[in-house]
Amino acid sequence: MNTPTATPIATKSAKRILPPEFGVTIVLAVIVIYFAAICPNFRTVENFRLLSKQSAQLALLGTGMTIVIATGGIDISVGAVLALCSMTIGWLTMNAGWNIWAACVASIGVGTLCGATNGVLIARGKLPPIVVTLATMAACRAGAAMFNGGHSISGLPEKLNTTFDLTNIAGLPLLLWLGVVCLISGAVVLKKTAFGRQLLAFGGNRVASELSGNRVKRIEAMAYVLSGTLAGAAAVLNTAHKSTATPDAGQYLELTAITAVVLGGTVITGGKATVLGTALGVATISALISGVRLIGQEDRLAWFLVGIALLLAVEVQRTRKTTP
Amino acid sequence: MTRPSVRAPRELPIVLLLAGVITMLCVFVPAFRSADNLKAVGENAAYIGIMALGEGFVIIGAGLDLSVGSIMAMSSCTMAVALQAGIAWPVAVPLGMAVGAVAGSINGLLITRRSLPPILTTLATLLLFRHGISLATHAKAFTQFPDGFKQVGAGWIPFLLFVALTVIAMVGLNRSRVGRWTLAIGGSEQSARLSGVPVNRVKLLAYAISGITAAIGGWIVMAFNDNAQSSIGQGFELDVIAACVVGGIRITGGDGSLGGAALGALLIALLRNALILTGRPIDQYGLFTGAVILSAALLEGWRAQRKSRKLQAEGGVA
Repeated sequence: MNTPTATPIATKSAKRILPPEFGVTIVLAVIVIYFAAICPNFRTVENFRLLSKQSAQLALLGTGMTIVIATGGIDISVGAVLALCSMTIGWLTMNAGWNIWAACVASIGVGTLCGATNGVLIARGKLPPIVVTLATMAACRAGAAMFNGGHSISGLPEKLNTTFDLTNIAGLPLLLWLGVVCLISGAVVLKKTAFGRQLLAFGGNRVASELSGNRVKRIEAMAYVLSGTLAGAAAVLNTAHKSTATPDAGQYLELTAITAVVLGGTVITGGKATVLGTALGVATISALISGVRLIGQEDRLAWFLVGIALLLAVEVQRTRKTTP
Repeated sequence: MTRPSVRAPRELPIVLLLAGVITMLCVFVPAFRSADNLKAVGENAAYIGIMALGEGFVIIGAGLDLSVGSIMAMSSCTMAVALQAGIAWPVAVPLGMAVGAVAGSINGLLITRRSLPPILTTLATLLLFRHGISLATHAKAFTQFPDGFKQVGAGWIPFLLFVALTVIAMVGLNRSRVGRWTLAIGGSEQSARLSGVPVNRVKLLAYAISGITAAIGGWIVMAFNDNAQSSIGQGFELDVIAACVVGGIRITGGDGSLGGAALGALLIALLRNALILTGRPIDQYGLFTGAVILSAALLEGWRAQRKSRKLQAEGGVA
């Protein structure tokens, strides 16, 4: 008598068990296997090292973006904040004669400040995140261009580039370690700390979260502060990689970060987030771009494919939501 | 007894701001008044404004279209390719509009049929359309368009077209059934659906219109510059959304006027012009746009708070 009713329940729960990272894992596997099969240069250790170095910036921004999206918000200013911070490093070292490391710390400070501006306006001013970060995006991009009349600042000290690009720890690039550590810290903060829990609770239902006695304004603002700080840190990596500070650095990086996060299975409306998914999303985008370059195609094909991947990811997310 | 409240029109702040900016420019910057400069401002305002009309429709219906810049590139390149292939311009232009409409409908269909979030869907199509047309045309630059085609970018024609389309759009939003439905959907999609509004069809139409206005914007820009390339209109979505927000359209939908969006576009064009005329680098323009968007948002937030307080007070009395 129980058998007929038990079957649908079993399939239902089986569907629920599918982790949010399921889709991105398959996409990543397909991309890696495909490029590894058709392109011998793709499956070399050297390419893996290069790829992991290139992903570091995106890993940092993706972690911040996951935290912001977990609250149900969005931060489209990160690319512009990165450019502003990068120009800060360039200007402080070349024009103000600062020590390069002090300038890097200042860059992280500037990023935090930008994030705090976003956070205060969104949480205190109760303004829509997309409008606020759209405004700060425009302002930061303009600010970045004002340092050197819209030109880039080159000739930064060698040691910045050598430290970040050439250092290895335990045989792996420093940049890979940085990205991984950042992602793991993000995951720990989100899943294991009271702050992370409050973030998710706030993203799930802000009214309920407020009524439960959480300091919602502070929590929401903190998400944007963290995102800004990480953008400042990503600016250090960006500047180090090119040994040049450019005002148009980080263009489209906010879109890439959002894509990586959504691809990874974090729900855009907030309340559910997975940093592991973001890590896989970052890896997917990096592998795709690297593979497309190695088979001799241009970046725009990669971006076209990223667009398709994003649509598919959103579609999968929707299917998961409607068939619980 | 409730008194009929005397509410300042939503466009009041932007009208005052515009009046201030225009007065300042006229008084302090003599070069502003030259006919050539005014025409350039008119052209700038025209393409941002026309695109803002379509975007405004979408935003009022509680959507968002980030792909307008990319749709612009797609339809511009289509028109350019058609013209190069020797197709007469009166045929090529509708072809470009059709491409815009189809691209907008793709957005609309994904958003309505598959109920995907607008911001993500149009973010994805931003990438798809832009890089798709870039792949198809190999980022080739097109130029030397026929004179008839370039008419739309000459003299006061773009501005007049903009004014005409604004009037049509305002009447369309406020007087037509579809316009009212759009406002209703923006206010509450659930209520609109339950009241029998064909929500999906109206939304689809809004995105298609946004695609068409992006195509018209593309026509004006390529006619004015006599140049089209797959990178045309990069980042325009921000200017266009800024024009809507500054013009008093509520970003979450349900409130606002397309006349406001048009005025917002005019303000953005004027600010850009002011920076150029005063010899400041064009890069600083973002600072002003940012400041203007923020002040508009703060004003909107303040309005909403005052309104809810007023409603609470009224509720308390009753």
